[in-house]
Amino acid sequence: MNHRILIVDDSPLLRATARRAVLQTGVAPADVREAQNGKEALDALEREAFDLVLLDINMPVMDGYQFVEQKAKNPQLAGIKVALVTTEGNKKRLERMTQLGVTHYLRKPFAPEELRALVAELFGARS
Amino acid sequence: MPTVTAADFRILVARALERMAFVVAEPTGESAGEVLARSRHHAAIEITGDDHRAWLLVSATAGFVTEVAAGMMGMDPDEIDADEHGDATVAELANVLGGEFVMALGGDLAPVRLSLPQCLDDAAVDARLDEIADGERGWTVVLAADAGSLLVASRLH
Repeated sequence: MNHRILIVDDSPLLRATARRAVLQTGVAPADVREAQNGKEALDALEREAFDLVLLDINMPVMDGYQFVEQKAKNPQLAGIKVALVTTEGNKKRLERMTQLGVTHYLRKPFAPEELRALVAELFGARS
Repeated sequence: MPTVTAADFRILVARALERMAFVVAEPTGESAGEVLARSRHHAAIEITGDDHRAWLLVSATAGFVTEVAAGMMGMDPDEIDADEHGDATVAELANVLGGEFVMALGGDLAPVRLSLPQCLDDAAVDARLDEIADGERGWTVVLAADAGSLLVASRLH
């Protein structure tokens, strides 16, 4: 099964790093798209089907918290998995994200193999 | 209230660079001024909380940003254009190191927040460093990797 993944980060360097790591997993994604902030990501989810969002928190226009809150309000987006890839480490804020449906979390700085392992785990493949 | 010394942060920076970009960076005999004179890319990030207000400044030479960007993206350094990737690299370094700084200040439990990283010009960098010239509640860390050097400075208000 092919998967569609959306990488959401305002850093072009992080998007390139994450794209490379994702493409190196054994999940053979059908498509990897990118968005620079939460607003662009919500727009993308409304236009196209995705299986997974890799989400930064600290972004302009719409941050990761706002994205998760908006996504949670739309039942049509409930099946899309969200994994945080962020510098955020505050337990209360992360608990709130979990309550809103975020299932996985990888804190920056991360090694590329950690991101590969996370994506593989989410799709039940070996990294 | 936790504090973060230059010695503490030097270790955090070195670990972060090795983890995210396979870059081994070590203390060097260069002064902050010497590194700054060769640095072409600068970014700063603000840290705010109920008990804390601070900033973190990252300045790097072209060689250093090339080495970090190549390590992160799994590319050969020869494939990296420092002019194209330099600002994005120091901005992401400021973001990641700011996150490490927040955690060192107890940000896992306390409501401490990071701003968005902002790239700075030389004059803005000089103004920041003037703030910590007296050494009060501020510090600088200088590290060297194979291809260049990094300066990280911070001031806690």
